[in-house]
Amino acid sequence: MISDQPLYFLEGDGEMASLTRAFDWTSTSIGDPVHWPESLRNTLAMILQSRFPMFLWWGDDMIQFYNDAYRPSLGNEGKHPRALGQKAVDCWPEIWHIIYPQIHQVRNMGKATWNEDLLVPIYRNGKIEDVYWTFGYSPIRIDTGEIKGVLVVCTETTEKVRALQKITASEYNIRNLILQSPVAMALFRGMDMVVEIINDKFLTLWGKDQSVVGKPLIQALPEMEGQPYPQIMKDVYTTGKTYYGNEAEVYLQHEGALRQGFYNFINEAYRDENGAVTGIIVVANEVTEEVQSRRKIEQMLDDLAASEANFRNLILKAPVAMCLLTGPDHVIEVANEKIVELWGKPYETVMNRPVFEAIPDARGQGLEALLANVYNTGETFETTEHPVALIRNGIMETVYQNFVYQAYRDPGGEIAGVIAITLDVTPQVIARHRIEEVVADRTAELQRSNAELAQFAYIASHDLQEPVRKVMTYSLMLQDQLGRLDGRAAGYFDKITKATSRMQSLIRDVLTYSELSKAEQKLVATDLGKIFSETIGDFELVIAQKQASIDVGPLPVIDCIPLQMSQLFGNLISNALKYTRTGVPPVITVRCEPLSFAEAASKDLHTKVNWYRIVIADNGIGFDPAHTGQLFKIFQRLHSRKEFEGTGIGLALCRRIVENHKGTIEADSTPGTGSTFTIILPQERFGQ
Amino acid sequence: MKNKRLLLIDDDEDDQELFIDALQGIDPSISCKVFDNALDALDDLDRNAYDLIVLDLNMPLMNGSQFLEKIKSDEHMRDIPVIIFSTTSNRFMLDQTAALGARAYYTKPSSYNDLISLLSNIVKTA
Repeated sequence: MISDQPLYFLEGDGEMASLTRAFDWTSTSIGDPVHWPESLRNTLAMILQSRFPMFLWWGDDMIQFYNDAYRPSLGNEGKHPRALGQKAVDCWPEIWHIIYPQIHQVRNMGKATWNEDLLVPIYRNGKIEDVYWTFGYSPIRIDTGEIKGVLVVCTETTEKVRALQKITASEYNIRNLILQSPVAMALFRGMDMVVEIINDKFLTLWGKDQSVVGKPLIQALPEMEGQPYPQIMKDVYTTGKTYYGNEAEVYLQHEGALRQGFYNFINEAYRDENGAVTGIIVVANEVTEEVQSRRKIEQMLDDLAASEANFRNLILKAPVAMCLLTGPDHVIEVANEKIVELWGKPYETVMNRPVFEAIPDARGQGLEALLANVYNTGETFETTEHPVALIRNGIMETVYQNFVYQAYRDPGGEIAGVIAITLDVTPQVIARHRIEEVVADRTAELQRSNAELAQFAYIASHDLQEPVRKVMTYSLMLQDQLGRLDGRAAGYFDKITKATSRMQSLIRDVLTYSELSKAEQKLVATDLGKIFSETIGDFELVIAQKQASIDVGPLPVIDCIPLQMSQLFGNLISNALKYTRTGVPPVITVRCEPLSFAEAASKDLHTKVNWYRIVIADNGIGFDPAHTGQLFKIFQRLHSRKEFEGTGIGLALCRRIVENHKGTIEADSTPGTGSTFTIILPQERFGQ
Repeated sequence: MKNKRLLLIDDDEDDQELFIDALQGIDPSISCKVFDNALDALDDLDRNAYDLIVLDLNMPLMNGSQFLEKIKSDEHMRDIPVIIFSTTSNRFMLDQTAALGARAYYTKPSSYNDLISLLSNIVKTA
């Protein structure tokens, strides 16, 4: 039933205005609208006139009003239109636990509430829906000041919240994407490129930790100052255009030093839900090693190309004759002037032709096989003074060459040809051949005259011996015949005898010496110890007379001429027993030791055989070391015959014997203390 | 060694004379035939027998070594003892003649007295 009094506050053309007018309010606890208090009337008028969604609870039963704007929030098959005039508690059982505390707050304490995007699921469209609201409850008082109503001004924000949730989810996703990315990835926010999200891979590149998060790029990575990358990012930020960096050179601080690195990276604009650029996503991948190794290879290739060019240049400028023959036909590809001159053919007739076609006169001298072998196996061939017959400038000549054939390899290591380096040694070889001929002639001549000389020495000394012996014999016979002689006559006979016997020993020694030059005698393995003891046996008498002691250590078996060895030892022992100090019994020691390899090598001795050092030392008068040079020369004597008898042949003989055995002999002395003779002899024969 | 027959081959007349003188003084019963070259001696050896040959080494035409080699290769003569009697002495010649079969090697002494004592020795042992 509608009051006949004008109900101005219920006017309006909206659905809710007419529904409110038509509603039987007397059936509710707030009664006939005619009696409604002023504040309810005013509030309701505002609600029904407003285009903003509004809702009102009135009275203790919280009877409900709402306007057209609010109506969609109740959905199609939901609480509308039953909600009008309904008690709150009957209308919102599903959310009563959410709204009641707020209603209570407003009604009892007069405090308005404000909720933003609060999830208040309601029943509508035939089901419970998750609905987000931003709403406020305000108290409505009547003239007594008592709170009678609660005005709800609300707006459904479900769509906005959903959109926000979408954004949040996508941000969550981008975070995960970045953090879990297998490559370095980061999100920079704003014009200052604040590090927002950065994964460990990126931090490793930077050599930083998560503490950079929240810092602008230039602060997080000060070394970026002066490098082009901050600007590139700003450009991406302002233009939205993706930037691709390819093998970009970046300097980053690592362990206190700027380190050059190369990176492939992408700077991509990061946009919000409206498409506005809010940041930059950077994906980076370090390619330093790849770039460096590629650059190295490029450098090597460059070097190779340069060395190839250098090599050709080297051939052309080489101070020796040189050429490069390529392919299995040995095509003359590069040849310098010197070698063309050596070939004796015009340059243009030989170049770029197979070598044996260009120089046919070189054929059939074995060079084809040599070149083919080097080309096929890569083994270098080297020879000296190799004769090659060549027709040079129309004349057949033999050219002697020192040459090397060496494989020429392409950058891949494959044999591409042969390098020939030749030194024309023809003049030297010819000169040497001449010298050799002359030397051979001279040597033959010398050998002849040596043989003649030896023969002469032998015959002369032999034939001289006979008359000397006879002078001796007959002067002794004459002495016998004459019987007893006076002092002077006896003295003359004595002089004749002494001179004659001296003559005899001289002749005998010269004879022995000359015999050493005679035809080579056989070397036989000989026990030097045995030879030595036999030799000492010859001196028994002198040893006894002089009370000499001879201490001979172990001596080896060596290949030698036994007779010469006993002459060698005989002479040395004889000297040791002869040149003694008065009143000092001679002490002679003989020691032998093998020479070490190093020692033999240091003395320039042949190192393929074993060597022995035999040292014979005495305690005699010795000699002045200044005379060492004279010691081994024939007929050189250091003492007068008055002091010591001798022919001056003994040590010359020793040296000749040692040299016959390819050994050495040296003497050393401290005058007045003794002499030491050191003989070095090979154990086995060697050479010729 | 009574009535023994000696053959001396030596080209030196003085030495021949000294040798024979010394030999006569030691034992006059010993006969000694002398040749001054080895070829003639070989010729004679074909026809005559000897108890001892005393041989010089350095001689013209055929030297002592060659002679020694010759008679040591001859069935009839190889058993006659040969003594080398030379001015020169060296180990090489000594070894060589010993190898060829010489019984002894003596160097001609420089005094007559030494010659006599040497020859006495030879004659005693021959």
